[in-house]
Amino acid sequence: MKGEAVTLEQIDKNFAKTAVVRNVSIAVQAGEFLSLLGPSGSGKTTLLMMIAGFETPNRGRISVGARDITFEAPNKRDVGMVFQKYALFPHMTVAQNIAFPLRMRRFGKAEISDRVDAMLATVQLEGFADRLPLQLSGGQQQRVALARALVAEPPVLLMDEPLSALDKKLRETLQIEIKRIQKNLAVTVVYVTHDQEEALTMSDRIAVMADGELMQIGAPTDLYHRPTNAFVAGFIGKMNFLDGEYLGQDGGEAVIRLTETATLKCPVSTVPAAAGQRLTIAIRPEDVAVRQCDGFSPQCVRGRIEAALFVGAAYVILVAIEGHSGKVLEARFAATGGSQPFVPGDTVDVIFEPHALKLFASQQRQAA
Amino acid sequence: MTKPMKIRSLTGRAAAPMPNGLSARQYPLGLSLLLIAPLFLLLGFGFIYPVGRLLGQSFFAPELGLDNYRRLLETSLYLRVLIRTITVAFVVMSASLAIGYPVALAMARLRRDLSSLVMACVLLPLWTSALVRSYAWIVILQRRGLVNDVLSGLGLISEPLKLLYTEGAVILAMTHVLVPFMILPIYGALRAIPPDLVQAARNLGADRVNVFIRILLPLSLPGVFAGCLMTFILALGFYVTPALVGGPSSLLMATLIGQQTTETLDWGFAGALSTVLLLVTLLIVILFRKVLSHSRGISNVA
Ligand SMILES: Nc1ncnc2c1ncn2[C@@H]1O[C@H](COP(=O)(O)OP(=O)(O)OP(=O)(O)O)[C@@H](O)[C@H]1O
Ligand SMILES: [Mg+2]
Repeated sequence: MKGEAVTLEQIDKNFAKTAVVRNVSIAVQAGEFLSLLGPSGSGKTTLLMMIAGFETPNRGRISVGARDITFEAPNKRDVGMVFQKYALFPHMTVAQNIAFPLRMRRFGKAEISDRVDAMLATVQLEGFADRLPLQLSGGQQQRVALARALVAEPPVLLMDEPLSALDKKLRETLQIEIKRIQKNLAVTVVYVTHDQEEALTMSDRIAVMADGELMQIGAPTDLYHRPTNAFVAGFIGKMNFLDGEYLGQDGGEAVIRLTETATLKCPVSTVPAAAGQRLTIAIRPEDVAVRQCDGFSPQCVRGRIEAALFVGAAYVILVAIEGHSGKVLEARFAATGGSQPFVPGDTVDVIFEPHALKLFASQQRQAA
Repeated sequence: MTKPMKIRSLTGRAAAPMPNGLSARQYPLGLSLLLIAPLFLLLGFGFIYPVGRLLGQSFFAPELGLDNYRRLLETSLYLRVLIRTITVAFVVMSASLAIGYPVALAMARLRRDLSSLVMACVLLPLWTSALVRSYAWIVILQRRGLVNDVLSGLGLISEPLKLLYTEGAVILAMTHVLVPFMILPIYGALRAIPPDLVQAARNLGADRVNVFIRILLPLSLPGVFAGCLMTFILALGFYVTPALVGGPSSLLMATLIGQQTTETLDWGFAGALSTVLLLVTLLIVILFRKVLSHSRGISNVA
C-alpha cells in the first residue's frame, strides 16, 4: 500500500440552504497526516463525510490521486474510515469484522485469514479474534476499528475523533500507536479532532476550520508561531488580545498606542490597518514579561496584579493594564523554585517583547 | 474523562449502605415485587384461575377421565381442524412477514416525517375493532361485492366467484388484521441499528444488497422473531375474523372452542380443545426460543 494525495477543490456544502462548508480547498499530500481542527459545528465531519461519499458537495471537486471521486459511490472509493463510536458490527467476531472488507472484495479464504492475522498482530490484538465487540474494552474496540479500516490497504484513511471516547492515558497510547501504524503503512490520513494537543503532536499539517471556512493550513509550529489571523492565533494555544490604535511607521517599526500614556513598537512593515485606525495586538502569555515597578522602560505599560496562580510547571499572573479597558492580561513564566514573586494588588511594569507581538485587523473573528 | 470519574464517585458514596453483592442497577426485591404486584393479581384472577378451571374441566366434565381427549384424538374432524389451524397460522405469519418486512424497512429508512405518516397508516387499522375490519372484508369479498363487481365489469368472469367463507378469505383477512404486529417489532429492531453501521459497511466496500444481507437482516432478526411469534400465536387463537369470513370448510380451533362453550355447552370438551391449543402454543414458543438462542450474538444486540 502507498498513500495517495487527496485534493479538495473549492468545496461548498449546504444543508437546507445554510452553508456548512464554504469554499474549502485543501491539498493533502500522499502519506501525509493532516488534522482538521476547529470548534464544534465548524464543518469538520461534513468535510470528512464528503470525502467518504456519504454527502456530496454542492460545488467543487474531490479527488484521490488522479481519480475524481466527487460523485463516486461510497463503496467504490477505497477510502478507509474509522468512526467516532467505532461502528463495529455487533453480530460478528473481531476476526469477522476485520475480514469484512476483504470478503466484500472477494479475496480467497487463505488470503483473508493471513491478512486478518497480520492485522491483528499490527494492532496487538492477537488472541482476541473470536471475541464479539461487546466483549472488548473501548480501546480494544478502537483498535479493531482501525484494523478493519486498514486491512484492505486503502490509500487514504479518514478518522473522525477516533479517540474522543477514551480516557487520557489510553488516548495517548493510541495516538502513538496510530502514528506508528500510519508511518509504517505510509497511508494518507485525514484526522478530525477537537483536541488541539492531539492535533499538534500527531499531525504533519493542521487545517484549522471555523464556521465552515478554512482559516489556515500549515505545520503545527507554523500555526503556533505564525498565525495569519486572529482566530488561529487564539485557537491554537493561549493568546492575549489587546485593543490598540495604529499611529504609523517609525523607522520600519509600527507604532501602536495602547493607552493614553503608553505606546508600543512592533517590527513589522505590513500592518492590517491604516494609520489612525484601531487594531488588535496579540501576544502569548509566555512572551509577556512582568517586573516590579521601576519607573520607565521601553515597551512597558503600568499594570496591577489581579491574581497570581501556581499551576505546577509555571506561575500564571493576571494583570489589569492601567488605562486600558480590555480584558486582563495573562502572563506565564516557568516556576523555578522559590515562591510566587508577585502578590495581588502589586503595581508592576508589563513589558511587551517587540518580536512577540502580532497585529490583526480589529474586526477579525476571534476564537471564543 | 471527567464524567466517568464523577459517576464513579457518586456510586462510591452510595455503596456504603448497600448490602453485599447488590448492584445499584437493581431495585430492592420488595420494591420490585410491589411494582409487579398489580400485574400478578390481574394474571391470577383474570387468567390463571379461569383458564385453570377450564383446563381442569377437561378431566372432570362430564366425569373423571380422559374421555374428552380420546374423543378429540379419535375424531379425524377435530384433528383436521387442529392441523388446519396451525397451517393457517403459519401461512398468515409468512404472509405478514412477506408484506411487513419491506414496509418496516422502508419506514426505518424514510425521513422522519414520512415515516411517521406510514406509521400512522400501519396503526390506523388497529384503532378500529377486528369486528369492523372483518365486516369490511365481507363487503369486499361477498358474491355481489367489490371484487366480483370489478371482475365481472371487466368481463373476466361470467358469474360471481365464491370468495367469502373460504380458507383464502380467512387468511387474507387475518393477515390484514395481524400485519401491524409484524411490522412494529421489525421496525423497532431496524430503527435501533445505528446508521454508523450501514455507513461503515458501505465504506468497507459493501453495496446496498450486501449491506442488507450482512448487516440489516441479521441485526433485525430479533424483531423478525418477535413479530413471527406474535402473529403466529395471535393467529392460532384468532376468533372473530375466522368466525365471520370463514365457512364450515375453514373451521379453526378458536371457532370450534367457541361452538362448544356457546352452542353445545360441552365445557369439558372445550377444555380439552383449549388444553391442546395451549400446548401447541407453548411448544411453538419454546421452538422459537431455541432458534433464537442458536443465532449467536443476536440476543446481545436487541
Ligand atoms: N445532516 C445535516 N442536516 C443539517 N445540518 C447539518 C447536518 N449535518 C451537519 N449539519 C450542520 O452542519 C454544521 C457542521 O456540522 P459538522 O458535523 O460538520 O461539524 P463538526 O465540525 O464535525 O462539529 P463537531 O466538532 O461537533 O463534531 C453544524 O452546524 C451542523 O448543525
Ligand atoms: Mg464532527
